[in-house]
Amino acid sequence: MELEMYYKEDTGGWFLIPDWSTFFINLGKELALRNTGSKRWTAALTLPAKEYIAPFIGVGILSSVFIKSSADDLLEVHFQSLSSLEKYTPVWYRKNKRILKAVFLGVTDYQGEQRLLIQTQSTKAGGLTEYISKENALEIQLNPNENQRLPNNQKGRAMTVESRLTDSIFGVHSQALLKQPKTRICFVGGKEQLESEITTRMFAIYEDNQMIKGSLNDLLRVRQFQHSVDPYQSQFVSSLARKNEPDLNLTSTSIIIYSGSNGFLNWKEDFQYTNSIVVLDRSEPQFEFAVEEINNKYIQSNRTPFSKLDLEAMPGGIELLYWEETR
Amino acid sequence: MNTLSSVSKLFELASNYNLRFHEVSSKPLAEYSLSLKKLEYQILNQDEGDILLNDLLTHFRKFRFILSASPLPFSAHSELINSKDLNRLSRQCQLMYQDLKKDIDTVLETYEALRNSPEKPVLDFLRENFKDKRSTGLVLKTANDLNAVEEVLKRTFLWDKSFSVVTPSKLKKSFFFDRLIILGPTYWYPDYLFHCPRSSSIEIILYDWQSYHTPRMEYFTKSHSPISSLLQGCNIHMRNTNDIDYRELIEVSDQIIDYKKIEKSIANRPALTATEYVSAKLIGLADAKGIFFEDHSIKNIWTISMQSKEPILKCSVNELDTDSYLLIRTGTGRDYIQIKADEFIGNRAEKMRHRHYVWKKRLRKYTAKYPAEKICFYLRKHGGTRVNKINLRNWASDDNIKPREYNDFLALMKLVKFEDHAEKLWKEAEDLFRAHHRAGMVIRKLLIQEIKKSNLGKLELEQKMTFHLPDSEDATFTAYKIEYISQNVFQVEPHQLRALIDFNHLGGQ
Repeated sequence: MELEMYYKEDTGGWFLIPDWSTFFINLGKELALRNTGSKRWTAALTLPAKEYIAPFIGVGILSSVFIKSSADDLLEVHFQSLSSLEKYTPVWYRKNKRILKAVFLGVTDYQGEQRLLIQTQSTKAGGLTEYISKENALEIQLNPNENQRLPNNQKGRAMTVESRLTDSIFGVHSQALLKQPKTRICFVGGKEQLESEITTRMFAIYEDNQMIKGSLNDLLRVRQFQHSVDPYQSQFVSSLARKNEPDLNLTSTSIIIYSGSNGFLNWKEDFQYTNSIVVLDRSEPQFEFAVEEINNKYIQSNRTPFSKLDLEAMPGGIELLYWEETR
Repeated sequence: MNTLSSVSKLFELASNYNLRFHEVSSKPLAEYSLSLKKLEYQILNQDEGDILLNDLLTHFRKFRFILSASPLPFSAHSELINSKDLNRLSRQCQLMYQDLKKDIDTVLETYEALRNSPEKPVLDFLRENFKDKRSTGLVLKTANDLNAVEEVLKRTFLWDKSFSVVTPSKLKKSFFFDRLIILGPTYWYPDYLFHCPRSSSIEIILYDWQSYHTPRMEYFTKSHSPISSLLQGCNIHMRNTNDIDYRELIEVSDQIIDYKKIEKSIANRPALTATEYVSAKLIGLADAKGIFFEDHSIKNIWTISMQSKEPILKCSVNELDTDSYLLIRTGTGRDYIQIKADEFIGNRAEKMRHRHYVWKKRLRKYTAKYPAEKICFYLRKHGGTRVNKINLRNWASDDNIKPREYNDFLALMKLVKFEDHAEKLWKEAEDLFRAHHRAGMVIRKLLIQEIKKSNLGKLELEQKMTFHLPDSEDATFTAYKIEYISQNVFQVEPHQLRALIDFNHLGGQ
């Protein structure tokens, strides 16, 4: 089903997103379907402009992922992975739209049901604990900061509340999935440009006689463009960053989207074993170097024959090269 | 940065736009170009690397390029080449190469006919074919005098204020036109002008004797499942070539100077007799200029880049690219940063600089005498922590004031036998470094102010622009388009570094 999404023009009016953006959202969906563990793929595009392309592909990928996923399997896996944590591991606990610091104490039997036991108050002040049932397990997330001291009486930090735009596009069931931080996509590009496209421009869905508004970051959840405690679905790496980036938590199903030649040329060696989408703007100064790299990569790859994408009519001005390799 | 609506417009245009090739004619210019081509062949057949012949060809080629790239009447470029110099050079060449006499004469005759000709084929064509009032961008490869071009266009298209000169870099941003007119063959321009369309009508005008190519429309290598809509939306209308009676079409290169020949002549100079020399790279600049920069990794070359948000970037010689403009101080004989830094230091500056010069010179004596590996080994043995060949080359250069760490400096002082004065010299080097840094900041700030006030489109077309620093009468910086970056390393005397070379008169020097 096509996404009937609107965007807000600078003049203030709402317009249906153009056909080219629908093409890139659908391209993202198509590529996400090929995101299996056994094959690694690369999709490279040369375009007359790169702006907004990477975020729209990202929206397509995530909508494909969320539409076919269910939270039930995730809950079980998440509960099991929390159960295996060491005692006093710092965690975040989401409660009443606030996020609290906590430490994991273990798994305990509570009225015949296995529950996670966490402590949200310093022992000196009383050591308040809470029992978390399996169905609420997603409210607990690992806190990467190892040296956490529990406060005496914490109110918690405000966190991003659920987005109605996300519910409309990904479905209400995605709320649970979105609580689990995961690097499904990693954007590599210019910070100023991507941040402005993802966080500033307003988009909307028309539902129940009203506009349900939000930014693309309500959908993409880029870690670097939101509060640090909010669970993320995507990450961002600057094209110009030096190579001592923090751990991006990439998995075999993570997808790298390079927005522009510079990012691709700078980071290609670091992400060479990951599924990649390379968006190249033909008016960029480094464009021809990047194309040369792509062509060399294609020629040298151990690609599987007849790998083809199932695409609808393509807007003008696009060149696409796609191939799959066995991992 | 394109907005969402610009991207929409780009995709809309890319789905359906026209690329039309048009021809203009000028018999005198065709005859000049063909006679020059013949002369080039004759010289090539003789396999003569003579610098005088090369100078002569450079002048002739420049005239051909400017005339075929300009919408102005031919006579508007009569001052472009000094006729006296050209005649003198022609006579010298004719005396030296008797068998070229006739060919040189033919070119000179056709040159003279063009120099004073009021003919203006491009302007006439524009006036005749684009009479409507659609907003039109005229893309030029170069303009010796942008103001003159704009003035003539204003007079020609008096009724149409929407006719303007536009540069390729502006067509990367949010500019769209009802019509784009591109003067010259496609290979003069970046490909994106032709496949990232900023107009639904792209009209390419070139002379009927000029060879041309259709722009590149395929970038990815052949694959099993090629997917491209690049040509799908582009309707190419080729020119009608039936009535051309010229024997051959000529490719007019926008690079006038034959840099390979220049490099060869520099390499073949007599051996250096100077006591001191440095390794340097040659950079070819617009306006037939060149400059040597020491081959090291110090980022001390100022450039203007149209692609970057920062108006001025600092690069090392190996980071320069042909899309940038080199900023060179042109007003004063001495480095303006040095002058400003000395002002900050005060009376001590002269003596400090002398002492600094002495240890640098002694260090260069060592680096010239002993292999770099041996010196590096010595420095490491004496406590140097960041010693490697590149750093050693940087430390020996006048472009670098001091190593970052005292340990390395002390090791250098031990090498040059100034160990007893190491602390004092280090303190002075630190003072110099701070003063240079401060001076650099001040000058950069002033330059940025001037650059922001300027029309950089003019720089893009004229390929050269001078900026006057507001707080000094004679301090000027000139930006030159970088045309060529040599991959070879030459041995030059220190005073030859950062001094402008005029390639027009190499034969006379």
